[in-house]
Amino acid sequence: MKDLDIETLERKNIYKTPDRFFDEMQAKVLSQTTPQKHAKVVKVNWAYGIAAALAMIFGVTFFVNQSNDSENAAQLQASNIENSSANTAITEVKPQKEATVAYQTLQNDLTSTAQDNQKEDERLVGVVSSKVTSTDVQTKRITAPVSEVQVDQMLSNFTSAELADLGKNTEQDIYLDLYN
Amino acid sequence: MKIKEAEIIELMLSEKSREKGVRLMMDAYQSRLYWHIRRIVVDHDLAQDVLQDTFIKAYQNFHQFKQDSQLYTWLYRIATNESLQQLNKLKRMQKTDEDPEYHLQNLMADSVSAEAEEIQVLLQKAIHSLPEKQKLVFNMRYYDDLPYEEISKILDMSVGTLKTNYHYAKQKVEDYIKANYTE
Repeated sequence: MKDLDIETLERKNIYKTPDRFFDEMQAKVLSQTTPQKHAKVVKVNWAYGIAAALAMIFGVTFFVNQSNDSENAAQLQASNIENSSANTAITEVKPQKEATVAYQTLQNDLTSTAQDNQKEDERLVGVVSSKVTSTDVQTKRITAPVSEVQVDQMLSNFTSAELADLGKNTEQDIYLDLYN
Repeated sequence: MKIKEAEIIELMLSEKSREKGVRLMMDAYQSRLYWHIRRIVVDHDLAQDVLQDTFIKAYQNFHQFKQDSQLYTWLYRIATNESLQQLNKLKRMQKTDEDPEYHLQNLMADSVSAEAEEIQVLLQKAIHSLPEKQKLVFNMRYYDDLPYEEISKILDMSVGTLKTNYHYAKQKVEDYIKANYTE
């Protein structure tokens, strides 16, 4: 050992290391260095937060008030509609009944007149029937005063003799109905 | 090696390719750095922690790397500083009457593989008997075969001082082995 020169010795590592140490080391380092995908954190300023909260409170209050108003308005409108429909129903029922009664009577009269008086002018019947049908359709839609006016107009087309005939037929019809 | 270093630096400087740069850097230098650290701190677990911290610091402070030196020189500098910091922490934690060199020698005896030759074990013990600076110079020159210019950048010492330190270190190591070797 007198001539020892350490430069001639082989460079050896005398220490033990675990298996796969370097692979695991790389994984450990990469887990700490590679940026993790975190959810973006938004820092909220206090002032903005308070402003947003106030805006939300006012917004919600406004929305609630507005919806209440609209509900009230809707309720009012609904009640108005109900009232008006009830009124119209009342107003419509009476004239419609009167009109229909008038038309039916008139139509019955005309048919009985046609049966009794065969010589009667066909033109007159045609006019009356057409007017009756047209007014019949109209009764479903239009209100009472219009129907009454039409009935008056129709009646004005008849001569006094024809009206007298109609009056007779009316009586006859009543009896006929009774006897039938 | 220079081409590989340039590639690593290019990858590390771009945020998109930094992960690939870390992988390549570790593939290239982790073994050499580990053994450098292990010879200083001896304990494997401690060496593992120091190596990990070395790469993490290198990753975090890569923007501070001035390309006037080589990358491995910069990494050696970080690893050496981290190792010495860990040793100082250990010294502070140990009892004041315990000799740190004696502690390292005992630790070394526990860490040495069964197949290790006696002369190699004696060599390690002799190195741990050296003063800190001489130990660092000796290890980097003897085991890593680093040029004095690079060691100078790592340890902030002049080349002349390094040569003197190495000469004295070598002499002490040989004397230690001659005194303790049993034929």
